[in-house]
Amino acid sequence: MNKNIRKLMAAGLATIVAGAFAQAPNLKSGALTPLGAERAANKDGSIPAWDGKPVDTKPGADNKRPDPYASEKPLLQITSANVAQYADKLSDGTKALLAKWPGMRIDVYPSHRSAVFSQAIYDAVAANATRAKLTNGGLTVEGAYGGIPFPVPKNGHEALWNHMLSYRGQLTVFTADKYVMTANGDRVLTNRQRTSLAYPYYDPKGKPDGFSGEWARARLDVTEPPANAGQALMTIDYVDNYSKPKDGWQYVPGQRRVRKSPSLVYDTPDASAAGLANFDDVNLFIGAQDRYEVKLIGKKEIYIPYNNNGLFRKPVNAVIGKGTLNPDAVRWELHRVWVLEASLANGKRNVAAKRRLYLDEDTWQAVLADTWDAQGKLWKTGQAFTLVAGDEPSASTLSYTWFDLLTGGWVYAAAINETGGVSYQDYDAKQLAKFTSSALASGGVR
Amino acid sequence: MKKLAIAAAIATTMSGGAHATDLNPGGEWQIRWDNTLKYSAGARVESANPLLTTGAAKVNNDDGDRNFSTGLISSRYDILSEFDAQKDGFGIRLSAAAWYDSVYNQNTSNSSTATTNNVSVGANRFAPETARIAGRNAEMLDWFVFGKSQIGDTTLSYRLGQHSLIWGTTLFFGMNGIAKGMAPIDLYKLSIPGTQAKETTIPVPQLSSTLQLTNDTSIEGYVQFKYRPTRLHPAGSYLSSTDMLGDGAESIWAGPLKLRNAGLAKGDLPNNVGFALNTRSELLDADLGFYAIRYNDTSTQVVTQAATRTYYLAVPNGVKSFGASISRLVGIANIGLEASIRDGQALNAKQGTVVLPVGQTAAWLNDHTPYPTGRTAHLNLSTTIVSGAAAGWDGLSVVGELSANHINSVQDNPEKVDTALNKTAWGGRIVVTPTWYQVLSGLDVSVPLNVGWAFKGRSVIDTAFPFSGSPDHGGEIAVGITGTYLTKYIANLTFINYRGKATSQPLLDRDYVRFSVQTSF
Repeated sequence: MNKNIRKLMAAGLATIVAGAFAQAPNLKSGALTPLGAERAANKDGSIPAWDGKPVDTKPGADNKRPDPYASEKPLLQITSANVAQYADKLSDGTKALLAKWPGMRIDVYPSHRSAVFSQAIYDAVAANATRAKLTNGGLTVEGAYGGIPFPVPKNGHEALWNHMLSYRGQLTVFTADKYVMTANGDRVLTNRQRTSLAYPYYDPKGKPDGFSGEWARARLDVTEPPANAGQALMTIDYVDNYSKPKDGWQYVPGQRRVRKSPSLVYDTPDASAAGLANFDDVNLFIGAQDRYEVKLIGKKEIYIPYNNNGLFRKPVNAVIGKGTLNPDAVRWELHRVWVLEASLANGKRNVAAKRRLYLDEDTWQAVLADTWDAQGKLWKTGQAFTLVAGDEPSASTLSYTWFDLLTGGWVYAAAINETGGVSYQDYDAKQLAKFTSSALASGGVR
Repeated sequence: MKKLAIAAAIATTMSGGAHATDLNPGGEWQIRWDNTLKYSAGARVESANPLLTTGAAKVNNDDGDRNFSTGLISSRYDILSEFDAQKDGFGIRLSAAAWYDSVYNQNTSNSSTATTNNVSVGANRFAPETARIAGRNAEMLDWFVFGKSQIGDTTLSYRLGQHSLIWGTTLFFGMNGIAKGMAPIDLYKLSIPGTQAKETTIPVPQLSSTLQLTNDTSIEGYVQFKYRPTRLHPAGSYLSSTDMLGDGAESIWAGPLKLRNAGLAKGDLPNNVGFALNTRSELLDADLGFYAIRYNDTSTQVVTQAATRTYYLAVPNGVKSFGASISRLVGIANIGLEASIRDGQALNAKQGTVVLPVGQTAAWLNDHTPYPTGRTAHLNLSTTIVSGAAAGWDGLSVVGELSANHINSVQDNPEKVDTALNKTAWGGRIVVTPTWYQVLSGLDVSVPLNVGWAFKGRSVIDTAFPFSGSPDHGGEIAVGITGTYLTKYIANLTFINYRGKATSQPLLDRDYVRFSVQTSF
């Protein structure tokens, strides 16, 4: 090729790129953090500025991370007696829990903006800002890779995809429990499983062009209850929810074969949660967005569970309270959140007629959720608890709860109190061999 | 973590439990010992119908009917014990089951000395083997070691010892697919409520192995070292419909002659072997499987010899089966289609034609096939759907399968084929289970409705197709209620109603109710 033509083309390309970036937010040093959160403190300083420095959370041999804020004392305590004073900083669901359970209390600690990620993720988010777009009515993300796709979301669907594609590690392994608390106050361990998550979307060696469209592969090996021990499951999630719904396979003990599973999505109840949570309630919301119109309401300062390394370290007996988690075990902080409202789209159905989701601005992950039933009654409320891993570095929700405000039953899911910590490993494409249906079959013992 | 929820859902269909004995949760070794205890009872609700018990044609089909008057047909305790130990993918698994059913340790209600097929005991007793298999037994299920090795970029995994293995997409009609040649089924245990999948296939000593070539493609193979037949309802047990087959079968009436059961005639038994290729097609967005197996049929053929007053249960040797399966999502439903053809499949013969020549012994069967065989085609189309709340329930699962077979050509002994039977037969089963969560604190309730129907049932290929007795234009309806308390205690009450005509539904008068309660720990 002629040198001059090449020069000319390069110049042209540079112009196009510069043009794109001119419209892009300044995420590296401007008013926004690299993930699109507000960098500055709030007016009265109760939410500090984001400084981008990871906290020290060197994990022990058991992969449990220390609570970097263990020595702090609560700034204030909110109970049903003084709830009115803080009403504008509480979600509807939190207020409903305070009204329902006399023992429920919110201990508010100093806010720490501990959510820090790697430079590679920051670079990817900056690139996504100008290349990612939604198609198929919000069901498909195109052009995004390696970070949240929409640091400056223009609508609710974009913000919800940020929650779904937020960073939870590259290859994350932990063993988690699910506890159901019945209306009578019984506590039941309904499920324990080794959970392995691989995120090809966050492969640092990958490129947006070569991305297969699989954003997550999960493998679950059930060990409790005994009747279910030996069952295993594998799933694949796609960024093209429109043409590729979630895939799943299950290993059937006793037959030693793997079957493709039916679609376990939307409002199909999770039996191990005694019907208290549906498949789309995982991590407060997951799955296809086609049943909802999702509105971006805006940003708000509210009290949310945050920096809960302390919660994850306590024995489960110290964590389960009456009607809610034991207030002594949960750390709440004031943070800025994005408020989303998902209402049933025309002609669609879901038992949750309306959902409100509160996404932490620093991680984009849902930390609180409220659900209304078809009669417009506030029905369920969910909380998700953030694990800070400054060593990774990352901050992401892990365990979550759903409370049925009508019956009083509740579920504490992805609990690691009795099972050790979380192992974050570097993505390795070879590891994907463990996340296949034939690996389920050959690894099955029972 | 959505995955948490999903795996749990799979658990739904099975049963719950609580803390297992995790003997070493933190160490390098993972050691588990789990036990499931169960009590079950059943009661007959209608008296024997004379159409099904009387007449010359019924002398070999009446014992199970005559042995039970209305009332208790089973009062049974079961224990299933499972032990695993593994480290870094290498380990051992042992499992065993034991049971006691007081009903089978008592006398029967049968007073028909003229038609009983018992030889060693009177009509009012269960044959010793029936009493053992249905009444009191303990047996090892699994005993095997397993491991895996990395060979370059491929992973080889293997199991050596007694275990079960099934390929294909079949849900209910395993005997009509590739599974038939891979694993014998415990039909008797299948009828005990609350039985888990891991108890219903009979493990056989074998070496099985998987070589994972890529993320989407693997090849599998096995070789079996011992033959085991399907475990039928023991002769004279409540749901048995033939008196000359199954454990405890002591004789067959051939006119006035009572021929004694001389046992299995295995013939020149080669090892069962099989190979499979599993892959995933991006184009079809589907899982594909291709299978080739050779096996000794788990269903036996009756071979009589009037001269010695005996009959043998001959094992058809060296049946070949080739199959393919495809499975994919269609909407929210998983659809699986499994098709296979068989070479050397034994066919149903005209009565009295399958005989051992005078003067020959069972060894004659090594080189001769006295029953007809043929080339046959088999199809199983299955679906699984799980969905959410609707007007009447909190959750719903639907599991169904259509199954069909057809004879393409006859190989051996065409003149002996029972031409009164159907060249093509088909049937289906559907289980619809609505569930209600937390009906009372800690209690989830589901109401499974299970319908099995033979649309055209008298298969020349298999008298037990699509169900025991091949009820033509008949079947069964089971309505149950299952309560799961604290995910640990499971109780079930089911009413089973048999439909069809007295001429082709041998279980027509055997409606019964069954109750079970179980827990695992």
